[in-house]
Amino acid sequence: MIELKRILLVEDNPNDVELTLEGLSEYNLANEVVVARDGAEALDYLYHREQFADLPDGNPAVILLDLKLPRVDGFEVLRIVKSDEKLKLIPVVVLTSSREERDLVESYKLGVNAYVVKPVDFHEFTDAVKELGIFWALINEPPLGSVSKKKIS
Amino acid sequence: MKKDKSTKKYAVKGLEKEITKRKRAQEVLHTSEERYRTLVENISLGVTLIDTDYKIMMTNATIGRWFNKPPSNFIGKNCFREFEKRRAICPHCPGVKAMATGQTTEVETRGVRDDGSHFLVRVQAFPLLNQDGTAQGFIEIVEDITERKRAKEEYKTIIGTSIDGFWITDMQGHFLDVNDAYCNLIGYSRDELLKLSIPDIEAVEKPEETAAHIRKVMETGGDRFETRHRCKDGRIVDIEVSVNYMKEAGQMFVFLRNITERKRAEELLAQLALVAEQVGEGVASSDMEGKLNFVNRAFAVMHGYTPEESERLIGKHLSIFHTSEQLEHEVKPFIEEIKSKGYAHREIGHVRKDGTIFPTEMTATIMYDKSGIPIGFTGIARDITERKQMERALQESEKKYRGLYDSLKDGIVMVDMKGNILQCNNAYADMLGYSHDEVKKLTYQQLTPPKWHKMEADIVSDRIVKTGYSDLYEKEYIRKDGTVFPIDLRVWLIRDELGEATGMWGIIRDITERKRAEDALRESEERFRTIFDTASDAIIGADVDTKRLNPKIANKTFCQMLGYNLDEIANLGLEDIHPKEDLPRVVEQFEKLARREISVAPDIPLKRKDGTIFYADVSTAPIELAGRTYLIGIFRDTTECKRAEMEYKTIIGTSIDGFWIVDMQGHFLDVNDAYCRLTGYSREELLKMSIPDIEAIEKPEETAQRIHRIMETGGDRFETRHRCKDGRIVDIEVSVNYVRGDRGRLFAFLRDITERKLAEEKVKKLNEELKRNVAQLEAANRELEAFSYSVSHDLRAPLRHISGFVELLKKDASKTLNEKNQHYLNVISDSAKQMGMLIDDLLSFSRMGRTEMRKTKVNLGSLLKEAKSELQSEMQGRDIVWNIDELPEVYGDPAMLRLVLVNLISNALKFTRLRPQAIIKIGCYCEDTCFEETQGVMEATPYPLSPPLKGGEIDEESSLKGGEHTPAPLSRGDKSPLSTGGRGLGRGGFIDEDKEIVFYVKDNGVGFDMKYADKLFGIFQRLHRLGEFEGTGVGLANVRSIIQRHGGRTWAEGSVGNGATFYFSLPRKLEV
Repeated sequence: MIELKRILLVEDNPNDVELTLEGLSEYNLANEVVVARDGAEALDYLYHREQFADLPDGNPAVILLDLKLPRVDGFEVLRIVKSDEKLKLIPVVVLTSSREERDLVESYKLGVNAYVVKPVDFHEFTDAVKELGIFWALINEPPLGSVSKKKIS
Repeated sequence: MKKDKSTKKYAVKGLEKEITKRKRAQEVLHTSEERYRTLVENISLGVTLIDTDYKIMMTNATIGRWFNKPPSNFIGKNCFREFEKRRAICPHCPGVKAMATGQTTEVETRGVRDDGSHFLVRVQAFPLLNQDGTAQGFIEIVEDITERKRAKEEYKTIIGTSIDGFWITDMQGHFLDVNDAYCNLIGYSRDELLKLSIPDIEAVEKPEETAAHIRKVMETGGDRFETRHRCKDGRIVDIEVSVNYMKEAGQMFVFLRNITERKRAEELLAQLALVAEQVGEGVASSDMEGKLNFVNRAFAVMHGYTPEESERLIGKHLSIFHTSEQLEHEVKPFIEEIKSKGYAHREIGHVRKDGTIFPTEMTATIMYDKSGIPIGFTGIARDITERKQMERALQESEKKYRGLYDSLKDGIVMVDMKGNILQCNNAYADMLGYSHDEVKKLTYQQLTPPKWHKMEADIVSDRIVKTGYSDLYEKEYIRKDGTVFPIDLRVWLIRDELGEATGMWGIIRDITERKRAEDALRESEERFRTIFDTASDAIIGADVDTKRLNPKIANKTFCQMLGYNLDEIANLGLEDIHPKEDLPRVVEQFEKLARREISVAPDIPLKRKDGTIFYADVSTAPIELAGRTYLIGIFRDTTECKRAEMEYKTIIGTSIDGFWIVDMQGHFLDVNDAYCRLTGYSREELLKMSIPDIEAIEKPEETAQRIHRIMETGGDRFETRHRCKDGRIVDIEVSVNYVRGDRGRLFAFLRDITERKLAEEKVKKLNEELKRNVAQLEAANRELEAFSYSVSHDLRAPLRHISGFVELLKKDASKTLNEKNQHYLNVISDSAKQMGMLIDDLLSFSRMGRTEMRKTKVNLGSLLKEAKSELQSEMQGRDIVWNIDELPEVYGDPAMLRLVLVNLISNALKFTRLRPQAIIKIGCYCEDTCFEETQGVMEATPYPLSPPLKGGEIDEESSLKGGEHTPAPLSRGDKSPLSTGGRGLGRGGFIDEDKEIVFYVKDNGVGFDMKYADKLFGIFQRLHRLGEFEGTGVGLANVRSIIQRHGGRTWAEGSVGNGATFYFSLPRKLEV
């Protein structure tokens, strides 16, 4: 029995979503990925609002967060998550196309746990996503009680 | 009580048959019967007549009242049923006994009413006999004894439980009854006591006295007195006796109380009171409410009452001894403390009868009775007015004494004739740094440096021993730590009774401070003397009255100025040092100075010893010296000043700037020609004017304020405008200085700055324009930044998708795709990757332009090593000859310069890839570097520059002719500058070796066509096909960007197939 941990992927670009899921699928991690299409939806999910109102308690094991998002951008999501007592323990990985130093600095200032630039090369990209998934969803020990667990045999 | 009468009545009845005297007798009888009946009915005794069958024949009203029925109701009924609610006659019935015995019988029993309540009675039964002596019934006389019984019971209870003793005695003193309390008290049992009489226990009265006492009691009916009883064990107890004579019974009822304890307490109290009276301290006691129950005389007197009044104070409240203030703030808390602790001791304020207040020290305790219940307070008060005063006086005196003691800093020491220290005060020991004990083991000689020993021994033998004391003299002492300090001392001789000298005592003062002050004074005097002597002004004192000079107040300058020596001056007077013809004026001035009417006399003529005349300004002040008044004159030779004045006039006159002297009101005192020319006024006109007349901006009051400010600050520099005579307004820069003096003066330079103003205006406009341009530029820069940011983010995403989905497609459909299809996919994939690289490079280029420079000293040599090692992978398997000069230190951003080197070397490596052996030369041209160029051309000129271009155009021919991949020769003299366009066009132009250092990287690679040299450093510009050499065309663009930001230039030379040389220059000057 493996305990799978839920991943929240915040990404507006469907192509990137598909590629990311592809990367995660290698270790059968994909079925535990929840996709939010923008920052507002991500926050709704984290706060169990709107269409996520009926969600059981518990936080995702990791948030993979794009920075450039419609409505509420990635920085805002990061800022809210890291300043909320209930959410601040969730590891947040910024997964972005931007290699700009100011984005990097701003993300770390806001308390991001890792910053990963999406490589253009597909293999590099899937490798990166895969490793992220393995590390944050399988290897990393999240804070107690913050993860909703689903058991599969 | 005997009932003879009723018996008689019935006995008389039997005599009725007497015939004679019948009528009279009947009448008598009737009367008698009436009388008895009335008697029987009205007495408080019950009377009833009962026959032999115990039937009631008659009862009186009293019985009816007892049973609450009419007496007639009893007639004919059984007496036992009616009176006792019995069913049969009681065997103890007195009537039965009386009838049987014929005797009167008495019994106590009880009557029972119909409601069951009962009462106690005593019944006497008399038999009622016939003439034959047989009984025909009986009479009962009944007394209600309920009350008496109850009283007796109560008496018994009271007596039995009383804590006081109780006796009943007869009049002879025999005990008839005693209670338990007395038995306990006296130690005898009741039975023993009942055999005794009063004299057996009486310890004070003799038996006859007791008998007399008893007789007295019988006369007076009672007594109350104290005596003593002797207990069975011999103890004597104090008894208080309260006796009542019961006349009817012939008995004495006596209560006895053991008052031993009370007596003892009373005695103690009496003693205490006696003591209290004797101690002289106020003693008073009160009950818990504060009502006084004892006040001794001292207490009364203390409060201003007479001793006799002390009695009258008893019963009053203790508050009469305090003010309401004292009661509230002192007495109340005091009583609280007593109540909580049982006692208290405090200072408490009291008030006298006359209202004066005085302080007391009070000790008070709470008093308890035997059972521990508090019954009052006892307080002892002592008037401490005097003590308080004494305390205050003592404090004052102590303060004074201590002040004296503290201020006594002089040491006092007593020594024997050998010098052993016998006694000294603390100041003496402290002064020397020894403890009291240590110093007593020394002699004063040990404490004195040897150089003083002889002198002091002489003083002792010649002066002290002979006259008995010494004058004040100075010497030194050595402290415990070895330091020597100066002292002065005065010594007295001590003689014994015989007049023999036994020792000396001295008062010693540490005069370190005084010495120091003296030294300072001496130094100061010397300093002053030096100044006096070396002063460049001549100083001389002259007696105000005699007008003679005083050589003691004459300095060297004075001597030199007049050509006399000091001795000669002693013989001089005013008339000797001034020209005769000027003497009256000089004397007049002299006297004015002496009277302090003036402090400076200008231009005084002086006559030297050789007769020559010169002028001097004399400033002076009179002083008192040894009882005479002198005028101290300070002479300043004005010959120099006069010359300086001439010079000043010349300078001012010829100055192209305007010049004023104005007074503090702004009136012109002097103006120069330049200012006259400037304003068009003549000098004469201006000297009648003041500042407001020409000032065009400031109002007169503003000008006045400015002048006032300048007086405080000493000067100012400002711009204003002046109005010329013809009405023109000119811009003026004013530089003004305030010169202090009797009357202040302002010296002002004025410069016409109209032209400058116009120029400034222009500059200002240009500046504003520039600012606008810069703002636009900054906006453009921001836009560019935003652009590259979105490029970074948005442009890469689709590429990633292309690349990603192609890969997915390859994976999914690899089996169905033919080779051609696979190729297409590879092309798509590679293109995407290439574009990703382009974007990344583009971004890094754009970033380079924006990154802040961090300039520092940089060793290019070590940067080069780093760059080379970074490119190690590109050198793998290659044959490369490196030819590297020593490179100097430059000033720049290390990271950026490193990138320059990396790019240039990387290019050199790339483009020599096809050569079997690559030759890469790196070097620089600067004065410090030794040029050892292998190629002849280089020897000819150290400046490997391209030939000058014509009009900035690219001259293909010349660059090709440059040949050998080296710069065309260019002589030094030839370094005419290219057009400014030469810069940044990839051409070197000329080198100013004073201003810049030139570096180059030269290779033997494929080279390039000089036709395209200007494209080399452009972004995305490539001179080779991608198939030949990879690259994005950003590297050299970065190089240029970086070098330009460092203030340097870049250019390149080369020809196809013959290698290339890339140059960059950096400013020599270290810009900090």
